[in-house]
Amino acid sequence: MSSIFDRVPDLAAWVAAADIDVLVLKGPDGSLRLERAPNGSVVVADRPAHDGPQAASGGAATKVRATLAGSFLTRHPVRADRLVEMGDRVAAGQAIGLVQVGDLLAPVCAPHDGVVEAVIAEGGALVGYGDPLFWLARS
Amino acid sequence: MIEILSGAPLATVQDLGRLGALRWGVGYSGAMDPLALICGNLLVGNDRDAAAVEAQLFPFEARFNADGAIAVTGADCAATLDGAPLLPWASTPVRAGQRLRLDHPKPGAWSGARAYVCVAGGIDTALALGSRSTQLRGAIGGHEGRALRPGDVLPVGAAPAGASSEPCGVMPPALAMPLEVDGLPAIRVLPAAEYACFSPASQEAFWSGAYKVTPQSDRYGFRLFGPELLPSVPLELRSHGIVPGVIQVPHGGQPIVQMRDAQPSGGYPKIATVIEADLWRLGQIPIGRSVRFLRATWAEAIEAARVNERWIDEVARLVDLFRTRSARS
Repeated sequence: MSSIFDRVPDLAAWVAAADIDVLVLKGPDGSLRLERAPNGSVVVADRPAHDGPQAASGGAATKVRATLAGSFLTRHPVRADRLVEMGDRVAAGQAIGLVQVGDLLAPVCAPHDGVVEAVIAEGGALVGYGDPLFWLARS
Repeated sequence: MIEILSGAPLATVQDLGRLGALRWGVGYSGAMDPLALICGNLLVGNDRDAAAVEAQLFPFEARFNADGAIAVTGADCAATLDGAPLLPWASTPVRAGQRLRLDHPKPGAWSGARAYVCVAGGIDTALALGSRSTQLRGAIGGHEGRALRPGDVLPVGAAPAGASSEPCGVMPPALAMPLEVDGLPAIRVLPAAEYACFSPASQEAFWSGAYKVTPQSDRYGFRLFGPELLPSVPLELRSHGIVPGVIQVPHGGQPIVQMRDAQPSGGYPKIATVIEADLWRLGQIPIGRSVRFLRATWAEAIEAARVNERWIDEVARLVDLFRTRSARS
Protein backbone atom coordinates (compact mmCIF):
# COMPACT_ATOMS: atom_id res chain seq x y z
CA MET A 1 0.00 0.00 0.00
CA SER A 2 1.43 3.38 -0.91
CA SER A 3 1.88 5.84 1.96
CA ILE A 4 2.56 9.55 2.10
CA PHE A 5 5.83 8.66 3.81
CA ASP A 6 7.09 7.02 0.62
CA ARG A 7 6.84 10.44 -1.02
CA VAL A 8 8.85 12.39 1.57
CA PRO A 9 11.80 13.10 -0.78
CA ASP A 10 9.42 14.53 -3.43
CA LEU A 11 7.61 16.62 -0.84
CA ALA A 12 10.89 17.87 0.61
CA ALA A 13 12.07 18.94 -2.84
CA TRP A 14 8.79 20.71 -3.45
CA VAL A 15 8.93 22.52 -0.07
CA ALA A 16 12.54 23.53 -0.75
CA ALA A 17 11.60 24.92 -4.18
CA ALA A 18 8.55 26.81 -2.94
CA ASP A 19 8.96 29.52 -0.31
CA ILE A 20 7.53 27.35 2.48
CA ASP A 21 8.99 27.06 5.97
CA VAL A 22 6.78 24.34 7.40
CA LEU A 23 4.61 21.70 5.79
CA VAL A 24 2.25 19.63 7.94
CA LEU A 25 0.20 16.81 6.46
CA LYS A 26 -2.42 14.98 8.45
CA GLY A 27 -4.31 11.92 7.40
CA PRO A 28 -6.08 8.95 8.89
CA ASP A 29 -2.84 6.94 8.77
CA GLY A 30 -0.60 9.48 10.46
CA SER A 31 0.90 12.90 10.18
CA LEU A 32 4.03 14.38 8.72
CA ARG A 33 5.84 17.62 9.45
CA LEU A 34 8.59 19.01 7.18
CA GLU A 35 10.62 22.03 8.26
CA ARG A 36 13.13 24.18 6.47
CA ALA A 37 16.37 24.02 8.47
CA PRO A 38 18.49 27.16 8.99
CA ASN A 39 20.86 26.01 6.22
CA GLY A 40 17.98 25.86 3.73
CA SER A 41 17.62 22.08 3.58
CA VAL A 42 14.31 20.47 4.41
CA VAL A 43 14.16 18.04 7.31
CA VAL A 44 11.53 15.68 8.63
CA ALA A 45 10.84 17.28 11.99
CA ASP A 46 8.17 14.92 13.14
CA ARG A 47 7.14 11.56 11.74
CA PRO A 48 4.83 9.86 14.16
CA ALA A 49 3.87 6.23 13.79
CA HIS A 50 0.99 5.27 11.59
CA ASP A 51 -1.54 5.30 14.40
CA GLY A 52 -1.90 9.09 14.22
CA PRO A 53 -0.87 12.16 16.17
CA GLN A 54 -1.68 10.62 19.51
CA ALA A 55 1.41 8.43 19.24
CA ALA A 56 3.60 11.51 19.16
CA SER A 57 1.92 13.33 22.01
CA GLY A 58 0.91 10.52 24.27
CA GLY A 59 -2.78 11.48 24.14
CA ALA A 60 -5.51 12.05 21.58
CA ALA A 61 -5.27 15.13 19.38
CA THR A 62 -8.39 17.24 18.98
CA LYS A 63 -9.60 19.07 15.93
CA VAL A 64 -10.67 22.55 17.05
CA ARG A 65 -13.53 23.66 14.81
CA ALA A 66 -15.19 26.95 13.93
CA THR A 67 -18.39 27.50 15.90
CA LEU A 68 -19.59 30.25 13.58
CA ALA A 69 -19.00 31.36 10.01
CA GLY A 70 -16.70 34.28 9.24
CA SER A 71 -13.09 35.19 8.50
CA PHE A 72 -10.55 33.11 10.38
CA LEU A 73 -7.79 35.22 11.96
CA THR A 74 -4.58 33.83 13.46
CA ARG A 75 -3.56 37.27 14.73
CA HIS A 76 -5.56 39.82 16.72
CA PRO A 77 -5.92 42.90 14.46
CA VAL A 78 -4.31 45.14 17.08
CA ARG A 79 -1.25 42.90 17.48
CA ALA A 80 1.81 42.18 15.39
CA ASP A 81 2.22 38.55 16.52
CA ARG A 82 0.02 35.55 15.91
CA LEU A 83 -1.99 34.34 18.91
CA VAL A 84 -0.25 30.97 18.82
CA GLU A 85 2.44 29.28 16.79
CA MET A 86 2.79 25.59 16.04
CA GLY A 87 4.33 23.87 19.02
CA ASP A 88 2.98 26.40 21.54
CA ARG A 89 1.67 25.02 24.80
CA VAL A 90 -1.79 26.45 25.54
CA ALA A 91 -4.17 26.26 28.50
CA ALA A 92 -7.83 25.27 28.36
CA GLY A 93 -9.93 28.34 27.50
CA GLN A 94 -7.00 30.26 25.98
CA ALA A 95 -7.86 32.10 22.76
CA ILE A 96 -5.83 30.55 19.94
CA GLY A 97 -7.62 32.13 16.98
CA LEU A 98 -10.49 34.44 16.07
CA VAL A 99 -13.46 34.33 13.74
CA GLN A 100 -14.41 37.79 12.53
CA VAL A 101 -17.97 38.73 11.57
CA GLY A 102 -18.16 42.45 10.82
CA ASP A 103 -16.53 44.10 13.84
CA LEU A 104 -17.28 41.11 16.09
CA LEU A 105 -14.20 39.02 16.93
CA ALA A 106 -15.27 35.66 18.32
CA PRO A 107 -12.42 33.88 20.09
CA VAL A 108 -11.59 30.30 19.17
CA CYS A 109 -10.63 28.82 22.53
CA ALA A 110 -8.55 25.76 23.33
CA PRO A 111 -10.98 23.06 24.56
CA HIS A 112 -8.29 21.58 26.81
CA ASP A 113 -4.66 22.07 27.84
CA GLY A 114 -2.37 21.02 25.04
CA VAL A 115 0.12 21.76 22.32
CA VAL A 116 -0.82 23.37 19.00
CA GLU A 117 0.16 20.72 16.45
CA ALA A 118 -1.07 22.51 13.36
CA VAL A 119 -3.00 25.51 12.17
CA ILE A 120 -5.30 23.95 9.59
CA ALA A 121 -7.13 26.95 8.13
CA GLU A 122 -5.36 29.82 6.44
CA GLY A 123 -5.34 33.21 8.20
CA GLY A 124 -7.89 35.45 6.48
CA ALA A 125 -9.80 32.51 4.98
CA LEU A 126 -13.58 32.36 5.08
CA VAL A 127 -14.60 29.45 7.29
CA GLY A 128 -17.97 27.85 7.87
CA TYR A 129 -19.56 26.30 10.94
CA GLY A 130 -17.66 23.15 11.86
CA ASP A 131 -14.65 23.78 9.65
CA PRO A 132 -11.44 22.48 11.23
CA LEU A 133 -9.10 25.29 12.36
CA PHE A 134 -6.44 23.68 14.59
CA TRP A 135 -5.02 20.35 15.66
CA LEU A 136 -4.52 20.46 19.40
CA ALA A 137 -2.61 17.61 21.03
CA ARG A 138 -3.31 16.69 24.63
CA SER A 139 -0.27 17.31 26.78
CA MET B 1 -15.31 42.96 44.64
CA ILE B 2 -11.99 43.95 43.16
CA GLU B 3 -8.90 44.57 45.22
CA ILE B 4 -6.23 46.88 43.82
CA LEU B 5 -2.77 45.33 44.24
CA SER B 6 -0.41 47.55 42.27
CA GLY B 7 0.88 50.93 43.31
CA ALA B 8 0.80 52.37 39.78
CA PRO B 9 -0.67 55.84 40.35
CA LEU B 10 -3.51 57.64 38.58
CA ALA B 11 -5.85 54.67 38.05
CA THR B 12 -9.38 55.90 38.71
CA VAL B 13 -12.99 54.74 38.60
CA GLN B 14 -14.73 56.32 35.58
CA ASP B 15 -18.05 56.06 33.80
CA LEU B 16 -19.18 58.20 30.87
CA GLY B 17 -18.94 61.36 32.98
CA ARG B 18 -20.86 63.79 35.12
CA LEU B 19 -22.83 65.66 32.50
CA GLY B 20 -25.16 68.50 33.38
CA ALA B 21 -23.21 69.85 36.37
CA LEU B 22 -21.13 72.52 34.58
CA ARG B 23 -23.61 75.16 35.79
CA TRP B 24 -22.38 74.46 39.32
CA GLY B 25 -18.77 74.62 38.20
CA VAL B 26 -18.41 70.82 38.22
CA GLY B 27 -16.61 69.44 35.16
CA TYR B 28 -17.37 66.25 33.23
CA SER B 29 -14.65 63.81 34.29
CA GLY B 30 -15.41 60.36 32.81
CA ALA B 31 -13.45 57.96 30.63
CA MET B 32 -10.78 59.54 28.42
CA ASP B 33 -11.78 56.91 25.81
CA PRO B 34 -15.56 56.59 26.11
CA LEU B 35 -15.73 54.18 23.14
CA ALA B 36 -13.42 51.72 24.90
CA LEU B 37 -15.55 51.95 28.05
CA ILE B 38 -18.79 51.40 26.12
CA CYS B 39 -17.35 48.41 24.21
CA GLY B 40 -16.06 46.84 27.43
CA ASN B 41 -19.46 47.28 29.04
CA LEU B 42 -21.28 45.77 26.04
CA LEU B 43 -18.92 42.78 26.10
CA VAL B 44 -19.74 41.94 29.73
CA GLY B 45 -23.46 42.67 29.33
CA ASN B 46 -23.48 45.96 31.30
CA ASP B 47 -25.30 49.20 30.58
CA ARG B 48 -23.14 51.36 28.33
CA ASP B 49 -22.37 53.88 31.08
CA ALA B 50 -21.40 51.42 33.84
CA ALA B 51 -18.24 52.43 35.72
CA ALA B 52 -14.88 50.73 35.15
CA VAL B 53 -11.27 51.21 36.25
CA GLU B 54 -9.25 53.43 33.92
CA ALA B 55 -5.52 52.58 34.15
CA GLN B 56 -2.94 54.89 32.61
CA LEU B 57 0.30 53.86 34.31
CA PHE B 58 1.56 50.31 34.38
CA PRO B 59 1.96 47.64 35.51
CA PHE B 60 -1.53 47.61 36.99
CA GLU B 61 -2.59 44.64 39.09
CA ALA B 62 -5.87 43.71 40.74
CA ARG B 63 -7.46 40.62 42.28
CA PHE B 64 -11.08 39.53 41.89
CA ASN B 65 -12.77 38.36 45.06
CA ALA B 66 -15.74 36.75 43.33
CA ASP B 67 -16.50 34.79 40.16
CA GLY B 68 -17.65 36.92 37.25
CA ALA B 69 -16.68 38.19 33.82
CA ILE B 70 -14.39 41.01 32.72
CA ALA B 71 -13.29 42.72 29.52
CA VAL B 72 -10.11 44.76 29.16
CA THR B 73 -10.40 47.38 26.42
CA GLY B 74 -8.48 50.47 25.37
CA ALA B 75 -4.69 50.27 25.08
CA ASP B 76 -3.47 46.70 24.48
CA CYS B 77 -1.56 46.01 27.68
CA ALA B 78 -0.86 42.29 27.07
CA ALA B 79 -3.22 41.55 29.95
CA THR B 80 -2.84 38.28 31.81
CA LEU B 81 -5.10 36.48 34.28
CA ASP B 82 -3.00 34.40 36.70
CA GLY B 83 -0.27 34.59 34.05
CA ALA B 84 -2.45 33.30 31.18
CA PRO B 85 -2.73 35.71 28.25
CA LEU B 86 -6.06 37.49 27.68
CA LEU B 87 -7.37 38.72 24.36
CA PRO B 88 -7.56 42.50 24.06
CA TRP B 89 -11.06 43.95 23.60
CA ALA B 90 -12.75 40.69 24.64
CA SER B 91 -14.73 39.31 27.55
CA THR B 92 -13.47 36.44 29.65
CA PRO B 93 -14.75 34.62 32.74
CA VAL B 94 -12.85 35.19 36.01
CA ARG B 95 -12.86 33.12 39.19
CA ALA B 96 -12.55 34.39 42.73
CA GLY B 97 -8.90 34.84 43.66
CA GLN B 98 -7.58 35.36 40.12
CA ARG B 99 -5.09 38.17 39.51
CA LEU B 100 -5.23 40.48 36.54
CA ARG B 101 -2.07 42.18 35.34
CA LEU B 102 -1.76 44.89 32.70
CA ASP B 103 1.67 45.80 31.36
CA HIS B 104 2.95 48.84 29.50
CA PRO B 105 1.11 49.15 26.18
CA LYS B 106 3.19 47.63 23.38
CA PRO B 107 3.40 49.14 19.91
CA GLY B 108 1.22 47.22 17.48
CA ALA B 109 -1.21 48.04 14.69
CA TRP B 110 -2.60 50.61 17.14
CA SER B 111 -1.04 51.81 20.39
CA GLY B 112 -3.23 53.42 23.01
CA ALA B 113 -2.42 55.05 26.32
CA ARG B 114 -5.27 54.04 28.63
CA ALA B 115 -6.86 50.69 29.43
CA TYR B 116 -10.30 49.97 30.87
CA VAL B 117 -11.03 47.08 33.18
CA CYS B 118 -14.78 46.50 32.79
CA VAL B 119 -16.46 44.06 35.17
CA ALA B 120 -19.87 42.41 34.74
CA GLY B 121 -22.12 44.38 37.06
CA GLY B 122 -19.94 47.51 36.87
CA ILE B 123 -17.89 49.14 39.62
CA ASP B 124 -20.62 49.99 42.10
CA THR B 125 -19.24 52.94 44.05
CA ALA B 126 -21.71 55.61 45.21
CA LEU B 127 -23.14 58.08 42.71
CA ALA B 128 -22.07 61.71 43.15
CA LEU B 129 -24.15 64.22 41.18
CA GLY B 130 -25.45 61.35 39.04
CA SER B 131 -22.08 59.80 38.14
CA ARG B 132 -19.47 57.39 39.52
CA SER B 133 -16.62 59.15 37.74
CA THR B 134 -13.75 60.24 39.95
CA GLN B 135 -13.33 64.00 40.03
CA LEU B 136 -9.91 64.55 41.57
CA ARG B 137 -10.12 68.33 41.85
CA GLY B 138 -13.36 68.25 43.85
CA ALA B 139 -12.51 64.91 45.49
CA ILE B 140 -15.92 63.45 44.62
CA GLY B 141 -17.10 60.31 42.85
CA GLY B 142 -15.20 57.07 42.24
CA HIS B 143 -13.50 55.54 45.26
CA GLU B 144 -13.33 58.24 47.97
CA GLY B 145 -12.91 60.88 45.27
CA ARG B 146 -9.29 59.89 44.67
CA ALA B 147 -6.98 57.77 42.54
CA LEU B 148 -6.78 54.09 43.51
CA ARG B 149 -4.14 52.78 45.91
CA PRO B 150 -2.98 49.26 46.78
CA GLY B 151 -5.44 47.66 49.20
CA ASP B 152 -8.46 49.58 47.91
CA VAL B 153 -11.47 47.27 47.53
CA LEU B 154 -14.06 48.27 44.94
CA PRO B 155 -17.63 46.98 45.12
CA VAL B 156 -19.06 45.32 41.99
CA GLY B 157 -22.78 45.43 41.11
CA ALA B 158 -24.96 42.38 40.48
CA ALA B 159 -23.86 40.68 37.26
CA PRO B 160 -26.32 41.07 34.37
CA ALA B 161 -27.90 37.94 32.85
CA GLY B 162 -25.65 36.26 30.30
CA ALA B 163 -22.49 37.89 31.64
CA SER B 164 -20.70 34.58 32.02
CA SER B 165 -21.55 33.24 28.54
CA GLU B 166 -18.99 32.45 25.84
CA PRO B 167 -16.08 34.92 25.52
CA CYS B 168 -16.66 37.54 22.87
CA GLY B 169 -14.53 40.32 21.37
CA VAL B 170 -14.85 43.38 19.18
CA MET B 171 -12.62 45.26 16.77
CA PRO B 172 -10.99 48.28 18.45
CA PRO B 173 -12.62 51.45 17.04
CA ALA B 174 -9.21 52.89 16.13
CA LEU B 175 -8.95 50.06 13.56
CA ALA B 176 -12.63 50.04 12.62
CA MET B 177 -12.73 53.84 12.11
CA PRO B 178 -9.12 54.89 11.41
CA LEU B 179 -8.26 58.55 10.88
CA GLU B 180 -4.74 59.56 9.84
CA VAL B 181 -2.98 62.35 7.97
CA ASP B 182 0.52 61.72 6.63
CA GLY B 183 0.87 58.66 8.85
CA LEU B 184 -0.03 60.52 12.05
CA PRO B 185 -3.26 60.13 14.02
CA ALA B 186 -5.63 62.93 13.03
CA ILE B 187 -8.08 64.80 15.23
CA ARG B 188 -10.96 66.79 13.73
CA VAL B 189 -11.46 70.28 15.15
CA LEU B 190 -13.73 73.29 14.68
CA PRO B 191 -12.21 76.77 14.56
CA ALA B 192 -13.07 78.45 17.91
CA ALA B 193 -14.07 82.01 18.92
CA GLU B 194 -10.58 83.56 18.73
CA TYR B 195 -9.40 81.63 15.64
CA ALA B 196 -9.56 84.77 13.48
CA CYS B 197 -7.32 86.66 15.96
CA PHE B 198 -4.34 84.37 15.19
CA SER B 199 -1.88 85.45 12.52
CA PRO B 200 -2.36 83.91 9.07
CA ALA B 201 1.02 82.17 9.46
CA SER B 202 -0.11 80.67 12.78
CA GLN B 203 -3.41 79.54 11.32
CA GLU B 204 -1.56 77.86 8.47
CA ALA B 205 0.94 76.26 10.87
CA PHE B 206 -1.91 74.90 13.01
CA TRP B 207 -3.41 73.00 10.05
CA SER B 208 -0.15 71.82 8.48
CA GLY B 209 2.06 71.17 11.52
CA ALA B 210 2.42 68.12 13.76
CA TYR B 211 1.79 68.66 17.48
CA LYS B 212 3.43 66.37 20.00
CA VAL B 213 1.76 65.34 23.28
CA THR B 214 4.29 66.46 25.95
CA PRO B 215 4.89 64.80 29.33
CA GLN B 216 2.96 67.70 30.90
CA SER B 217 -0.26 66.04 29.76
CA ASP B 218 -2.87 64.34 31.90
CA ARG B 219 -6.61 63.95 32.36
CA TYR B 220 -6.92 67.73 32.92
CA GLY B 221 -5.32 68.76 29.68
CA PHE B 222 -2.78 67.85 27.00
CA ARG B 223 0.05 70.35 26.59
CA LEU B 224 1.20 70.06 23.01
CA PHE B 225 4.44 71.11 21.35
CA GLY B 226 4.64 72.17 17.72
CA PRO B 227 4.76 75.24 15.46
CA GLU B 228 4.16 78.41 17.51
CA LEU B 229 0.68 79.94 17.44
CA LEU B 230 0.65 83.72 17.93
CA PRO B 231 -2.22 86.21 17.79
CA SER B 232 -1.94 89.14 15.34
CA VAL B 233 -2.34 91.53 18.28
CA PRO B 234 -2.04 90.69 22.00
CA LEU B 235 -5.33 89.32 23.35
CA GLU B 236 -6.71 89.85 26.86
CA LEU B 237 -9.82 87.88 27.75
CA ARG B 238 -11.93 87.57 30.87
CA SER B 239 -12.42 84.03 32.13
CA HIS B 240 -15.27 82.27 30.38
CA GLY B 241 -16.82 78.84 30.27
CA ILE B 242 -14.82 76.07 28.58
CA VAL B 243 -15.45 72.37 27.94
CA PRO B 244 -13.26 69.34 27.19
CA GLY B 245 -11.90 69.65 23.65
CA VAL B 246 -11.24 73.39 23.76
CA ILE B 247 -7.73 74.19 22.48
CA GLN B 248 -6.35 77.18 24.33
CA VAL B 249 -3.17 79.03 23.42
CA PRO B 250 -1.35 80.72 26.33
CA HIS B 251 1.26 83.45 25.76
CA GLY B 252 4.05 81.00 24.90
CA GLY B 253 2.21 80.00 21.70
CA GLN B 254 2.01 76.26 22.51
CA PRO B 255 -1.54 74.88 22.61
CA ILE B 256 -3.27 73.13 25.51
CA VAL B 257 -6.22 70.83 24.81
CA GLN B 258 -8.70 70.62 27.68
CA MET B 259 -9.45 66.98 28.52
CA ARG B 260 -12.07 65.20 30.67
CA ASP B 261 -10.95 66.69 34.03
CA ALA B 262 -10.78 70.24 32.62
CA GLN B 263 -11.87 73.03 34.91
CA PRO B 264 -15.09 74.65 33.71
CA SER B 265 -13.62 78.11 33.01
CA GLY B 266 -10.50 79.66 31.55
CA GLY B 267 -9.24 82.86 30.02
CA TYR B 268 -6.73 81.95 27.31
CA PRO B 269 -7.61 82.57 23.65
CA LYS B 270 -9.14 79.52 21.96
CA ILE B 271 -7.90 78.66 18.47
CA ALA B 272 -10.07 75.57 17.96
CA THR B 273 -12.16 72.85 19.64
CA VAL B 274 -11.75 69.11 19.20
CA ILE B 275 -15.08 67.70 18.04
CA GLU B 276 -16.79 65.57 20.68
CA ALA B 277 -16.70 62.53 18.38
CA ASP B 278 -12.87 62.58 18.30
CA LEU B 279 -12.10 63.19 21.99
CA TRP B 280 -11.62 59.42 22.44
CA ARG B 281 -8.95 59.41 19.73
CA LEU B 282 -6.97 62.15 21.47
CA GLY B 283 -7.51 60.50 24.87
CA GLN B 284 -5.59 57.46 23.61
CA ILE B 285 -2.56 59.30 22.17
CA PRO B 286 0.47 58.31 24.25
CA ILE B 287 2.89 60.95 25.54
CA GLY B 288 5.58 61.59 22.93
CA ARG B 289 3.33 60.89 19.92
CA SER B 290 2.31 63.65 17.52
CA VAL B 291 -1.09 64.41 16.05
CA ARG B 292 -2.40 66.44 13.14
CA PHE B 293 -5.45 68.67 13.22
CA LEU B 294 -8.10 68.37 10.52
CA ARG B 295 -10.52 71.22 9.96
CA ALA B 296 -14.17 70.13 10.26
CA THR B 297 -17.47 71.89 9.72
CA TRP B 298 -20.37 71.87 12.19
CA ALA B 299 -22.24 69.45 9.94
CA GLU B 300 -19.23 67.12 9.80
CA ALA B 301 -18.83 67.28 13.58
CA ILE B 302 -22.45 66.23 14.09
CA GLU B 303 -22.20 63.52 11.43
CA ALA B 304 -19.03 62.17 13.10
CA ALA B 305 -20.95 61.81 16.38
CA ARG B 306 -23.68 59.91 14.50
CA VAL B 307 -21.09 57.64 12.88
CA ASN B 308 -19.76 56.77 16.37
CA GLU B 309 -23.29 56.06 17.62
CA ARG B 310 -24.11 53.89 14.62
CA TRP B 311 -20.87 51.96 15.07
CA ILE B 312 -21.60 51.36 18.76
CA ASP B 313 -25.18 50.29 17.94
CA GLU B 314 -23.86 47.80 15.38
CA VAL B 315 -21.34 46.40 17.89
CA ALA B 316 -24.16 46.09 20.46
CA ARG B 317 -26.32 44.26 17.88
CA LEU B 318 -23.53 41.81 16.95
CA VAL B 319 -22.60 41.11 20.58
CA ASP B 320 -26.29 40.52 21.38
CA LEU B 321 -26.72 38.13 18.46
CA PHE B 322 -23.58 36.24 19.44
CA ARG B 323 -24.78 35.98 23.04
CA THR B 324 -28.26 34.77 22.07
CA ARG B 325 -26.69 32.18 19.78
CA SER B 326 -24.26 30.94 22.48
CA ALA B 327 -27.08 30.73 25.00
CA ARG B 328 -29.00 28.43 22.59
CA SER B 329 -26.11 26.14 21.69
